[in-house]
Amino acid sequence: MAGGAAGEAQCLSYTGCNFLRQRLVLATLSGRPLKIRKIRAKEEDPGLRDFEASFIRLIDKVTNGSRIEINQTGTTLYYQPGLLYGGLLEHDCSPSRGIGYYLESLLCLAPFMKHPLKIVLRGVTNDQVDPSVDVLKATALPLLKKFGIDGESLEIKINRRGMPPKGGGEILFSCPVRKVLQPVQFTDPGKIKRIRGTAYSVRVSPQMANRMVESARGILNKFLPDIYIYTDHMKGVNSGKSPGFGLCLTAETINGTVLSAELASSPQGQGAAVLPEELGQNCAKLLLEEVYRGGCVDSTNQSLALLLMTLGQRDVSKVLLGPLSPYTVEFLRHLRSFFQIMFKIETKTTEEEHMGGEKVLMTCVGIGFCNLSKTIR
Amino acid sequence: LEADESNRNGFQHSKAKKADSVRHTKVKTVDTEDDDVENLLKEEEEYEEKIDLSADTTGALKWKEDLTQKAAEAFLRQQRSTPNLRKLVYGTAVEDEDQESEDADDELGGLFRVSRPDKASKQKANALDCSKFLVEKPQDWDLEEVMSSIRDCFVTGKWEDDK
Repeated sequence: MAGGAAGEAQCLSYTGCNFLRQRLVLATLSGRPLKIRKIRAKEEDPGLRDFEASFIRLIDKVTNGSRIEINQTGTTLYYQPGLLYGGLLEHDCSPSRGIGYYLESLLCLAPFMKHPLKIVLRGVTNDQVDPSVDVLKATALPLLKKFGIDGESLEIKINRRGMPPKGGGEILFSCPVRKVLQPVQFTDPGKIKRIRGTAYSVRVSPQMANRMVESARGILNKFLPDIYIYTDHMKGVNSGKSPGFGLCLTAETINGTVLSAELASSPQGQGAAVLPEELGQNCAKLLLEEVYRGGCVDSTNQSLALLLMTLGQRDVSKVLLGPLSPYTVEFLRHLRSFFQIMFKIETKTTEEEHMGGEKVLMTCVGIGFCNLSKTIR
Repeated sequence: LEADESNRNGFQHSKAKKADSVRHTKVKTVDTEDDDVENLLKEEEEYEEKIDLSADTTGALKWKEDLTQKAAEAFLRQQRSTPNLRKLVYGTAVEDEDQESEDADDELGGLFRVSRPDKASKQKANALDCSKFLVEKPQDWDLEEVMSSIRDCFVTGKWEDDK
């Protein structure tokens, strides 16, 4: 097949299961086929895990005409991307990873669909590993708005909460489509004006949430008086299948930057039990760490911001970040392989003493990505 | 010159046991007697050598050897680790690819493959895929100094004059 041969020439090859999501996302956006070998090849239980299989199925759902080949042991994956289609969908996420694992990638893909994406995801809404749905709702959506992805239909709604190990949560994510993205100049985060948060508890005493709020406030009040932490106790069918509690905190600046931190209780029957007071305090301290890192984008959303800058119009985009996370560093390398784009990276030492750690200024010229499959009405 | 002389005497005295090295110094100092500064420098060098010798003989205090050199190396290491970020991000990717092509040569006699224990890079290749940036060394936020390091990030902190 001639088409296959042409695809073969520009096929990118990687080893190992790490960074699977960003590779699949970038392959889909760039239209380049991808081959990943040696997925857990030397482990006792080789090959793709259930959550990765679930992720691949999700990618298959939101696209049209993708070709996915996995070998018998699951150690090699070949992916030839189709077109991003979108529409009304639903997906059962594997409960071994949070919904955030899946949602992060959907946030990257959703603006470039043919039809606006409206998807129901079921699984674990809050866990100890992945960014929770609450945090993504509070941080990623404002970030998308900055790039011109805006409108009433942009929303994340938590219908049911689900904690690990059994999950049982449900969310709705909908996102409008855009033909082109605006370039951004986002170099001054501004000062933090307020701290908001959500203390949630499911299938445990609702008092847990109040205890977390008290202890977190105790630490944060030393910096700022404007703190409000909502308590969210879901009951009955809305509380999922496993007990648990946790806290998400966000710090909002006058320029619309949102920094976040979160912690969740250990899954039932795993790990040491955590006191809600302790969790509240530790979470507040994590938020202070995030403030210390600083920048205009929260550390979990660095890669989303860099992707949207890359895909912007042919114009200069600038964004000030805190220290680059290992995930972001790898993402930058992947952006170079898939889109031949390199960022200008400058370290900025803060002149003033009380403004946290070193910052990084990222500059690039967008590749002028155009969503050709968007239907014009 | 007198001061220099006395200095040298003291020196001689302290190193009476190591006659050889002292004679060496003496010869050197005599040669370049016209330049005091140079003298002093030379003596300093000799002094270091003396420490080396004593360390060798006693066997103890080995860590004192080449202290300056060690400090210099540590400094350079630090310099290299603090960032040329661009090099850090884009420079190392090429090396990774090289390693990848290398492990095709791990075959023995064309039939058997050498199964090497997982290297750090291999570990990374199959590590947990997570975007969270974990805090490795949490600071003690109960301390006043640590708290003041982010004081001006809040609206309650100090503002620049132009705002």
